[in-house]
Amino acid sequence: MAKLILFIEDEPTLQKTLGRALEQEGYEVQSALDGQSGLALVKRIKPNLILLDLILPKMDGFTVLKELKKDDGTKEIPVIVLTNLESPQDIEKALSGGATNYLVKANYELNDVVKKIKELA
Amino acid sequence: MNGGEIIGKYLFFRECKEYNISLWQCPSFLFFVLGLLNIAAMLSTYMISTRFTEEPQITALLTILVSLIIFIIGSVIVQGFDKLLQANKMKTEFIRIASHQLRTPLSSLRWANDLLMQGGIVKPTHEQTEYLAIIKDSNQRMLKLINDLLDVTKIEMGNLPLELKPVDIKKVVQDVFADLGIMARAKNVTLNSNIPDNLPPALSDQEKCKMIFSNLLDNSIKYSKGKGTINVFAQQTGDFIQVSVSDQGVGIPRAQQKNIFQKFFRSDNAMKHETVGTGLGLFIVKAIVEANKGQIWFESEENQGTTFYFKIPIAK
Repeated sequence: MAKLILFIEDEPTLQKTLGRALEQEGYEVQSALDGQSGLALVKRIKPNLILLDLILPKMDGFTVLKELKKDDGTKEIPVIVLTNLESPQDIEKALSGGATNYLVKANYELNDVVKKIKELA
Repeated sequence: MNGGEIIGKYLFFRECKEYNISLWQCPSFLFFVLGLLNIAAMLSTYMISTRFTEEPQITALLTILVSLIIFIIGSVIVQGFDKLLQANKMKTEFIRIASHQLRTPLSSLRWANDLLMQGGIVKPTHEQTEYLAIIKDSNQRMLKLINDLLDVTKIEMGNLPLELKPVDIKKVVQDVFADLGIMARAKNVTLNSNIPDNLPPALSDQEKCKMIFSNLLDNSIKYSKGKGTINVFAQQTGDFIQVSVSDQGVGIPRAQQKNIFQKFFRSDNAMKHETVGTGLGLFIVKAIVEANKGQIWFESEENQGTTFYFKIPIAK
């Protein structure tokens, strides 16, 4: 069965491009456009990996991460933070909040993001 | 007030000018004026009350008048400080917003372009690939410019974070050579390094150290004359690692050498040779080297070439 990835990202164009690239690699990809619906979706579908943006409407990425790690049912799912914020404070906050990896979108080619994802799922 | 203007211009005005604040709202200048006024007021009050009048009411009125003037100037000074604070706050906000808002559409552009170039949707023709490559290149240039501008803003705010750890210089140079290989080949330039295997690690920030080499080598390749070799040497000198990056390119004219590390500066011969460039690379390199407790200097001869030297501490 194909591995399931949940992509919580408010920018539809990024969802479309990365989603397509991951589907070409054989993954099943589902998306959420805001933090709140993203969190609800995680609990429902239990993905193998979560890609999480930080600046999100309704509930920001940091809060989503906190909620995920609080819940026994979701805390083991690896989370890759995928954002364009790059201050050391934001990186530190995400990693100490339980994120497995922190990627600054603007610094990565599509292939390299896919490679990082394959390392975890 | 000519004397005051001259003093203001050279001592205080520089900082306020940077934030577009007029001289008469510049806190440090106003403090200076306030100080002068205070002294003048004390002297004149003393002189007037001891020599020209015996009326205590006039002395009292004078004191009140002077206090009023000082109070007004004080309020203007506080407003001036407020403006500086606002300008500073805006800079921090700009960095955070620019990081996200400018980079997001550029990321979309880059990834959509990557998808098309990979051929997973439909295999592009040779001609289509050429134009997709133009999109990719323009996108990289925009991203680099944004990154450079953000770095410059951070440097000016004294906020360039360096995570100091032992760094293997030989490996960094190999990585940068790999990144710039295509560009060097396109310009018919050979990249050569001579770094001993047993060179001790430097105490530096991995990413920022790589930026030093990237920027210096990018310049060397860009300003080469379509041939030649770029040599990177590194050796231990006392408690430092000393590195040199030398090229046989267009060089820096003597008259412009003193400006080479300035923000946005590009020498005339550089601009004639290659119009693409922001003039930020060396400003950033110097800031990183100095934040890394190092030194940077260079030797150059127009039309012969340039050698940049820098040294950074060894990791103990």
